[in-house]
Amino acid sequence: MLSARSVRKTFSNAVALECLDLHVESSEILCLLGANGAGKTTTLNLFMGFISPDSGEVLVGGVSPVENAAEARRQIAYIPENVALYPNLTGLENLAYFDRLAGHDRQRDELSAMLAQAGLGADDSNRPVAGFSKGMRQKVGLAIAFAKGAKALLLDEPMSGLDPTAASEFTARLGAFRDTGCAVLMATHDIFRAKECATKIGIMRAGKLVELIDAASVDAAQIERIYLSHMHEEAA
Amino acid sequence: MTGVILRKELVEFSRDRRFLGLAVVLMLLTIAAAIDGANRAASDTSARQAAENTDREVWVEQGDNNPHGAAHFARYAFRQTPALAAFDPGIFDHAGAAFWMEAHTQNPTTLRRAEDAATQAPFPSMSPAWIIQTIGTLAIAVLLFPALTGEREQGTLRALSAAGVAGRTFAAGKSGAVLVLIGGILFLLFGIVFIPLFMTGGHAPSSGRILSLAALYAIALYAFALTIMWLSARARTMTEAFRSAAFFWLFAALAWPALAAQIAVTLYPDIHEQELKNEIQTQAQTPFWAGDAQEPAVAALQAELLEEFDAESFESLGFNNDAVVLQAHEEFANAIYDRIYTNLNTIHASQDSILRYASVLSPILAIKRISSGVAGTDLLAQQRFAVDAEQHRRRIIAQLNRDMMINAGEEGYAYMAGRELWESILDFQASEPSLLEVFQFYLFETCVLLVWALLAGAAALHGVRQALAGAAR
Repeated sequence: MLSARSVRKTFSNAVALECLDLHVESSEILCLLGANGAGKTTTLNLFMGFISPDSGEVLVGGVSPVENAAEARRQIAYIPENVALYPNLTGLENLAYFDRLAGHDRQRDELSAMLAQAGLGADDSNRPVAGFSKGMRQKVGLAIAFAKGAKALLLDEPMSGLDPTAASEFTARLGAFRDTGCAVLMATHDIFRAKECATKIGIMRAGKLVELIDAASVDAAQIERIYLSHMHEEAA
Repeated sequence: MTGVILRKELVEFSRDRRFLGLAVVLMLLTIAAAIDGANRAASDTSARQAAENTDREVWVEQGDNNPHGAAHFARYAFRQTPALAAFDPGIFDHAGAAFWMEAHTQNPTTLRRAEDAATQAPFPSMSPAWIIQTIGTLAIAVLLFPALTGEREQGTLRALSAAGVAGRTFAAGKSGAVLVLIGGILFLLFGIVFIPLFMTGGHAPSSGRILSLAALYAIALYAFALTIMWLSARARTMTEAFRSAAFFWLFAALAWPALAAQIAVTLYPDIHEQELKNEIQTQAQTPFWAGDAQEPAVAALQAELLEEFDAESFESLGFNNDAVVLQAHEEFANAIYDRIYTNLNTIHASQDSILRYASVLSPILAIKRISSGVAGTDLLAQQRFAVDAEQHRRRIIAQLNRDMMINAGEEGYAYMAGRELWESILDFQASEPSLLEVFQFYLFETCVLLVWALLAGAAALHGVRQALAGAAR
């Protein structure tokens, strides 16, 4: 569903990605771990069509975001670290707005059910999001992604700043997402959560995918050791 | 999808406390100014009617008098106060409302409302038109400066880009919401506030003028709003967007109109009233009464009379020659007055043309000018009043001189006319430029507004698309 082949990307002569090969199939969750500047967000931005690769190929469901960004984006839902919502609208109205922009016209009850599925209660759904916590905003973001019916979900540090309970709920809901056949690509610093929800874990360093691990074959401590060994190599 | 964006924008406007606060303040100010304007227009109308009645009564009841004595006693022409003066007083407070139609002299108009406005009006300059032009545009600037930068800073622009929203659709939704907003405000102001107020005055403006004003204001405010949206799209931060919106408002609503007016009077200075009187004395009076202009003027008039009455000699007509001399002076002086006042009007027209071309830089200046034109309170209307009154003066004086010429005989200045003559003098009937004439006069400004709206629309569309594309990077 998501595929990057031999991708190179530079910003003002600084190499952000080098020979990146990455594939995420339907019903897979690939978590990208790496230090700041390792190229995780750049990878997500390539799939969104926000930036173009200098060389190599990026495909979303067989569509190049460079050549047809609109079509590629139709297949993707995106949840950033801070979900951007309209503060004067309620959670339900925000969801309804993005739902209609995606070409749907669901009724209020159906949208409320989606918010509930994302973990947001009815009372909260009808409050302006200006007063929402980060966790509540992430839930609305998840509901928007659900409503879009996307084939791929991209997440950029979605659990950063969430309390443990909210983070646990979030990973549980990601699992539900994967079960619908969606391909999930998540950039994160949280090794524990990555192990909890991912089917594959990629470690990025200096723009390269240096390790790709089957999440089921290792525990969190092992992942941490592998991760740190790569980081120490970089420091050396 | 445009409709979805438009509806969301309107919901957000309706929940924005700044919008609600500004809307309430704007409505209260407009209602206060509209009531004040309607009261002023009503008091002007009743004062004019009272003055006209008194003038006519004094004229008709003057008793027996020599027609030339009566011509010096003379009558006044009073300017009509158009119903829309309550909406936009234009230059009327600063231009004379009365014209003394005396013999021998074309007087400038007198009795300016501004001379005693301080004691009469709580808001001497806060007309509904001024409120819309100045406070309304300020409200638009305050509301719309975050239109794009706000979305950028809160991250929703990037979210929209990720959702696959096209720039053209987004721009259409945003600008459509602004159009609906402006339409709603104007409907509220024109439909709910102004029309009922004007109707109660018993001197209602034509629906053509009201609709024209509403349409022109909609275009002007839309052009202004889209410019603010373009500035918001270009700005990198909210602070920068606020600064550029505030600067544009200050420039377009206050600084440029004031500066343009100063440039106009500096380049084309007004003739001082005393200077005008001196010019009239030296060119229209002295050469006739103390110089050598009288003889040929009288001879020319006598020749005209001979032809008119098919007579061989002037003496055979038995006409009073003093009256012929008086009328000859009128005709001699009228040509001089035409020249002097044409020069004065040329100065005013030159000043006006500076403001006309200055409107290219400000849609608010353009709407200021057209608004007072449609309201019938502009220079065009004032000059029409002065010209009509002067033509009426010439008809009155000619009628009085003719009566004395035909009936005075040897009595000359001892001849007395009575009520029958005074009643035969028609009252002054004011006319105002038609809407067609107004649009012909303000064609340039109307085009300026339309071009501003088109260019601002194109710039906003481009700016919004760029901002959406930029948010994705």
